[in-house]
Amino acid sequence: MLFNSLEFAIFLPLVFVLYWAFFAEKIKSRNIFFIVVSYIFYGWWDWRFLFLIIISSFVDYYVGNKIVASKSKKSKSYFLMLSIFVNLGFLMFFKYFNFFIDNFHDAFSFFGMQFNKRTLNIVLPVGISFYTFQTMSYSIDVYREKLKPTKDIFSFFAYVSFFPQLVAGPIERAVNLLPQFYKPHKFNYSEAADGMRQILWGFFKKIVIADNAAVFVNDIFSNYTDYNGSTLLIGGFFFAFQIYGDFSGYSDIAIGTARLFGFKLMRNFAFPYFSRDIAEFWRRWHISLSSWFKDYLYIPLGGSRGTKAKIIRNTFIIFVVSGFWHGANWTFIAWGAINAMYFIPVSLRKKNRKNIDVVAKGKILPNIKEIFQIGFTFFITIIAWVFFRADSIKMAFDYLKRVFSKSLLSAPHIGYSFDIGQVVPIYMVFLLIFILVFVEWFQRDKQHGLEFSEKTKPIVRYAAYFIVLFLIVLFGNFSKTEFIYFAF
Amino acid sequence: MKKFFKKILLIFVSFLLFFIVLVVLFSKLIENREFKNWETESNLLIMHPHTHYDVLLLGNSHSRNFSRHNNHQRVENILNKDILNFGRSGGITGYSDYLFYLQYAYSKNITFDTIVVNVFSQMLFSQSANIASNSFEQEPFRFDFLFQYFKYPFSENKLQKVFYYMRSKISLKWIFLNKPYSLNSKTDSLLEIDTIKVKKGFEIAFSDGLDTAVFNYNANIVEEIIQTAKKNGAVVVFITTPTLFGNWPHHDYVVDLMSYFKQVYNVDYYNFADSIPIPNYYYDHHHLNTKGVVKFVEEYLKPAVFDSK
Repeated sequence: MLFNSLEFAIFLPLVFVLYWAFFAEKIKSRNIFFIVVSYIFYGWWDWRFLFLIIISSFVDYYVGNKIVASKSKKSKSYFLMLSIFVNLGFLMFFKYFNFFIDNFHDAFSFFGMQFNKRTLNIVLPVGISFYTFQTMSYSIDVYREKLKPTKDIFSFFAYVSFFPQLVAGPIERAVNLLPQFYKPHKFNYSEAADGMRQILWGFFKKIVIADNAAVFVNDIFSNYTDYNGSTLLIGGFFFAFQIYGDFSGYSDIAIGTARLFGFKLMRNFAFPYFSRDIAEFWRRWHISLSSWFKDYLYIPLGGSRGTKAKIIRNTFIIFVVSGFWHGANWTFIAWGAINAMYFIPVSLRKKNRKNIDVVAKGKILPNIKEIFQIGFTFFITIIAWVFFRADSIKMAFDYLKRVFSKSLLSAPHIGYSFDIGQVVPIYMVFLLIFILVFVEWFQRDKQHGLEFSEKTKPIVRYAAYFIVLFLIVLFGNFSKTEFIYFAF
Repeated sequence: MKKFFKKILLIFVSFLLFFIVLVVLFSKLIENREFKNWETESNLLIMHPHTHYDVLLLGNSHSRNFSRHNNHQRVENILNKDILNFGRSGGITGYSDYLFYLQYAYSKNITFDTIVVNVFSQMLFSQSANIASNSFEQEPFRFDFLFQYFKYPFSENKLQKVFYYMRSKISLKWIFLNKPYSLNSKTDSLLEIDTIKVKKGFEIAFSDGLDTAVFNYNANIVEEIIQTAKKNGAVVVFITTPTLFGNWPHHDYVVDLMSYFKQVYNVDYYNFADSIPIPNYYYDHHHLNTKGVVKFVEEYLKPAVFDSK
């Protein structure tokens, strides 16, 4: 079920009412209720893949308890390996099987050898990259004795399948989310109200920003050889906002929805395009995944300790693996490698924690230096996004070559294909992006774009709701576009 | 909890009312202006209840072309008939919409002697034309139109269409919809057929593929048009307008369907696709310019369809 669908508009209020009317305070029935509604939510897309979530949940529930019950370190390791083998096995098969077969075939052919290529027609189960990482982190934390395994199977299954964050994150750690399934919840008005505001802002980012930018991005990237440099630069710029609006919008809706039920999910985006350097960007972009890789890969590899060569190696590994997590294509690996190349000089000079606080804190506008830093960081992320969006590395290089050609200085031209009524005009997309940036700039020390302090007058709040609702209704793209991160 | 529900409901209902009021107000801005059939592509703006016309034109841009560029009056003069043209651009309307316009017109007691329906394979294989969200963006907001459309069974994308219908009223495009169409003749013409362009055009035109389920769905709607017309005492005639490339690909499907309608309903079909193979009469490969429209109506449509009756 998509958040931006009529089904969800019916599903959410129904589940909300049933939950608070009958289930909120009885832990066991509440958790069973969550399992049922979460499976309905997921099964709406394709019920056949529910078995993967069920197996993944069973394995990690079993592994968690077995790790603690095991006496020897060796048997604990075996059980942890079982969890990793099953979860990564699912991921490898459903997401990467054809990629590896294709590349083996190309490699063998390159050396003149025969390789019988048999790819499979595999459907990528929605959200598999998210819930497998979530369940794996539980077993790893139990293994590391950071977490006691749960004996409550319903809580565990509800934790794995919790519908607001099941298919596109945030990738929750059991330490944070699982204990919330152990206790009864009482309705909290201000949490629910702010959850609704966060949902509203998420919809604005998804339906108004991402889906409108997508129309132009798709056309420009599909026909990039027909466009001049300035138009291609607009394509990259729009894609930066498409992916931000899409994914951070989804996260806002997920977090806001969880808050309606009294659950607190971790923050996933913290206004990343206001970052002053690439290290700050990666602390603010897809926080749940970055911190996952940091905790379970980067630090075990040695992190930023050791020789320069080790730091470079570790940084490269974490970024390349993170890129590969996004999709079975060399473009994602290249995207990860480019970000590693951005990050390594910052890390080697020990400047990666230079910009921790919110930019221009306490001020209305940033200073010249900050503007330059933000602009430069944003610009280099656009370069990397081109690789993320392109169909192949060759196309990405060709695209960038065309951007940085003489035609960059010529006026952008947008093709006739945009002259169809239901598409918001390009100038309006720029204006809507400006509204997004404007609002988020002034809210940059808050959790989301529509958060209000208690001092805010009701008239201001209601005016803000009406304006955002109005922008959604007037400029929203309501064709059922999936969230980009569903594919990951 | 009650407070939360009350506030959500209050915001939702007040926003809905605010939106509807705006839609009605913006709609009225245009609705009060007088439009002729050749000055607008809105069909509601030119529907006057309790009116009788000799001919109704139904179809996509090939039908609309008989009204654009001041062609409407030329065609009326040549045929010596009062004509109402519901032709709409094929990208945003399909047979499902044409049928609805026809039913709505009958509900307003607007009647016709002859209904000329444009048929060709591309439209019959098109699903996207039927489900396009913005089919009614040029129509003023009317509650009775809305309620009838809610009850209309041949719509696959009803909620989105209704939503876009309403929100399109709060736009600059709607506000500036003030007699927008040029009354000048269309004098542009082609010099020769460009086969590469035609090939590319076919790829786009048939981008929905050749799904027989879609074809049958559209064929059912066309059949419904025949039945609706018959029920209201009108004669249906099918035509395929001229193109520079002759028959559209997969024309055999149309031929089969038309012979079935002839057999069951005794409805005539005239294929004019290859009647004018002269570039000079077209402004693109399948739209006649004004000179072409005049030639077609005078030399082909009038003698074949109207004079022979």
